Amino acid sequence: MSPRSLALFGLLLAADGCVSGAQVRASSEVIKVDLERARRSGAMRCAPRELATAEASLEFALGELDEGTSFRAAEHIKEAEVASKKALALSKDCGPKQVLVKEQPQLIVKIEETDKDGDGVLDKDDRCPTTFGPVENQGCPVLDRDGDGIPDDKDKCPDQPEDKDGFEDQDGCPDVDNDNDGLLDGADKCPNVAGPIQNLGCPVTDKDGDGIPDDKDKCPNEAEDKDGFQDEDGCPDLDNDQDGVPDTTDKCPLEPGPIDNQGCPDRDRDGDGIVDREDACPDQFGVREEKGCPKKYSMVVVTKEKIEIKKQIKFASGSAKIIGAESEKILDEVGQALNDTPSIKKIRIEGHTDSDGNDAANLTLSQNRANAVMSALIKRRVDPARMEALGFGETKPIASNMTKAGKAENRRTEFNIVEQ
Amino acid sequence: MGERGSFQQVMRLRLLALTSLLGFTACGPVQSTAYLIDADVQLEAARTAQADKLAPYEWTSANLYLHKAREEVGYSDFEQAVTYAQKAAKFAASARDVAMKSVRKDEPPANP
Repeated sequence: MSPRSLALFGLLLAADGCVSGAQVRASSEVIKVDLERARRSGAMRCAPRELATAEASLEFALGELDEGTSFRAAEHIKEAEVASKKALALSKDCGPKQVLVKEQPQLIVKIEETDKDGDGVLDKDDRCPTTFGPVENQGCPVLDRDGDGIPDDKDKCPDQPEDKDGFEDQDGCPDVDNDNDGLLDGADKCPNVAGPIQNLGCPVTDKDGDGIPDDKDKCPNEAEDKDGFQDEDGCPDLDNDQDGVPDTTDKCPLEPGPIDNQGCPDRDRDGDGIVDREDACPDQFGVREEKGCPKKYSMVVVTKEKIEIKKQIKFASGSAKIIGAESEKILDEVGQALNDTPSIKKIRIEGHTDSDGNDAANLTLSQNRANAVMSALIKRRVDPARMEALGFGETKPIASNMTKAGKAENRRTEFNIVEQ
Repeated sequence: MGERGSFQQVMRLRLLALTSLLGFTACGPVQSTAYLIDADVQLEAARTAQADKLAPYEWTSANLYLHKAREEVGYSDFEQAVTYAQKAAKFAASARDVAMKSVRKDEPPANP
């Protein structure tokens, strides 16, 4: 083949391709119209497969054209043509045979009700016809000046925002002191329960219910026993006198005493050092050997106040010399009594005279006689520190100095207990 | 030393270009195959709903697009293949929906 004829063949081929592309585009426009008609005629119902084939083939054809492969496009356009014609033919009689036209209802009165703002409230009833608002507010928007979320018509304090602290948040008023205890909620540890400022706004509690608030109660979990003894501290005092005997059984709860005496302190009425409950003679000064009863002496009797002598100690006339065996026996028993009774801390040996003679001489004589008795007792091993000798002369008579018997009574020696 | 360095640089560049080329060429087939598989699955699902009878328009479209997608793969036009495979899947899903609705509509009302 000559180069000339080769070039001519190439030109022919190119012309064939160009014509084919233009034809395809022209055909595609026709097919599109046919398909539109077929669709309107009900091809979707009567010729769905043909319609689908035609539409798809048309798309493929156009796609191939875009790709530059017009010979494939031509094949697809042919398929599309055939299918669209079939679809048109099948849908020709596809429409409904009979159409029933219902009579339209006749309009008698037309009432126009408008709602411009679309809030559901008709304009004739809407106080704010151009502004959206609820029916409850006659179609006007609900205002909330303080912005607390509670509309002004329900807000008791429309200009003060609700504090929303969980306490009466519906009224719209801020509650700065919920419990009205005088302490602002911010500083109140118990904002919803009233309490004194001293307790940071919290109520004063009394867990043990003894009437003493816990902050003052030294024993907040133990109730005060209120028995008149230290009832302010809040702690129960179960043994007020702490004698080991519980108050419930202590007959003397405020005075310590041994359990043997039911919690009461031991008394010693006669002061002999032997407690009354152990003292067989609680009102008589006694010794332990006699179970608190006085020791049996023949010449002396020990009482609470004195050592009484049954007979007087005799002295030589106008002298301090003790005379007579009986006087010695009396002194023996006085000494013995003092040694038997150590509870007698001190005695006073008193010397007394009658009124005969000079007063001063009598005073001296009585002092000397008291001294003599004290010396005699010292000899009988009585501690001198337990004794004092004092002469009173004739100043303290116990009987009349007018009679002999009275004078005899006034001449006497007494052993008075000073300390025990 | 200098010649050896420049040789290595050229080899590295060639290796990079080859890898990129392989990557680009592999991307199309893999992607289109995935879309084709998806369209196939959708079509099978539509078949189980009797879409071939109850949704003939969508069913036919789906089949035609899937067929065309495969054809485009054959021409190595993977981009177009993906487009058609996606359309096929869409038509298949639609066919299944139409068929299911049609079945429900024809079902007698359930006994109260």
